[in-house]
Amino acid sequence: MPSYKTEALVLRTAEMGETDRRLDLLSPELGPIRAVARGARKVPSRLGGLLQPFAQVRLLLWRGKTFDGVSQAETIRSFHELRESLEAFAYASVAAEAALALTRPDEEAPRRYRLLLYTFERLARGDRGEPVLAYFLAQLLRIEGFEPAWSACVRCGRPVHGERRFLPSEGGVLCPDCSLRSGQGEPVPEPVARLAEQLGRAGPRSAEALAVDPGLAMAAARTLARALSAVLDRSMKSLELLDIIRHDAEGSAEHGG
Amino acid sequence: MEYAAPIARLIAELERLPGVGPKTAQRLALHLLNRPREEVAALASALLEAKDRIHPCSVCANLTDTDPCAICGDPRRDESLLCVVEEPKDVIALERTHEFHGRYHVLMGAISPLSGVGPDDLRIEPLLARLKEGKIREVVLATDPDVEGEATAMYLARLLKPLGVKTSRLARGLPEGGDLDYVDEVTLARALEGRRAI
Repeated sequence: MPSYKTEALVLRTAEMGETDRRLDLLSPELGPIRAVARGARKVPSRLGGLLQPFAQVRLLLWRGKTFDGVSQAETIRSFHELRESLEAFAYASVAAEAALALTRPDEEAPRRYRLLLYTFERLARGDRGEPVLAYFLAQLLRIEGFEPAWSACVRCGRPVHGERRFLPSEGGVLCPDCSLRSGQGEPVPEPVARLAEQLGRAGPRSAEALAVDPGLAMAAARTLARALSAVLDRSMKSLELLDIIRHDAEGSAEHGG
Repeated sequence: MEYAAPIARLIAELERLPGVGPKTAQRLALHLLNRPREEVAALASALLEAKDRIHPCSVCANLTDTDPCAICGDPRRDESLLCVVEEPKDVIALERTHEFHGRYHVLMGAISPLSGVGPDDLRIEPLLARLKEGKIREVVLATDPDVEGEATAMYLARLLKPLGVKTSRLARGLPEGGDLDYVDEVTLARALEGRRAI
């Protein structure tokens, strides 16, 4: 059976059969890989501990009909920090779900891979999740060709200033006239639209250098997530989890917990 | 040539079982057809009896044929100690140790947003209701030692903190009887973190 080596990020795992684990991987040169690690859920298996979501691994796989099989695995970076903080887990889950949702079979994904790896690295070193997520979503949408138009109306093309209305299904904002005529679009404050646009065009260094208020960054992340949901035609479950966790954390902070 | 309709239907039904592919379903179907009628009838009757009589315990959600289940109804079990697990099979695994004498609560899953499972899909509300009764002093979080299990344990620990209940997590480390050089890096790192004096 032909085998091959690759580096990959583990995006999702699921139980399969009695002791196997199904894996959704993202490889820079091979794109998405659906694989199975036989016996990985048995306690003596080395694979079980290594092939956990968010781990960066080096793999030897054999080609299968439906799933490729994992013969050997070696950790490059386990990103255990993302399992030890509920917030980091939730932000990393949003990034993994978004990256997974946009994968197309047999398509190499070096930029998406590097972006995801960079996102995990920032979360693992303890950077605040809001700006990390906003940057990830802005960059992912740009890489995949779905970057929303923030400063020109998607209907008439005129420049838009001040508060604008965002129409995710049309991939950008509406000017006041088009918005009034159609009655469509959700209001987006100018600083949110400006930040979303800025993050889409910024390199990692300049994005990290931006002193962004976490609330503003989260508003930008939510707006970008709406754009992504429109592309995917579904909401993202991990974003719901992030909202629950943030809501609970805010609640316990208010009550002095 | 295709199978006769009853065999094709049997294969199709078996194929719906988890972990059973077309080839295995075909092998199982042909095996059943080769067995005596009484044996097949016993299997069919066992399936129906289990389906009709087994239900989740109204207290802990473990699978049972009584309500409450034998563990929840046993007065000798320590009602101040509660072990939270993901699935009914985890109750069986812990019971096999003969080391745990408290009661259980089955969540029916773990937080896994990428598989579409959030906290609202788990039996967390009934857990909080049990804790608010005030009899439970310690909760052992025995979710799986994987990313989803850890996230679930962290989420529960955060919810339980304001209730003033002692919360513990199962220890992690090396399996009994294993060779150190065969242990994966993540498990070994956890074992080092959790080392203790002897």
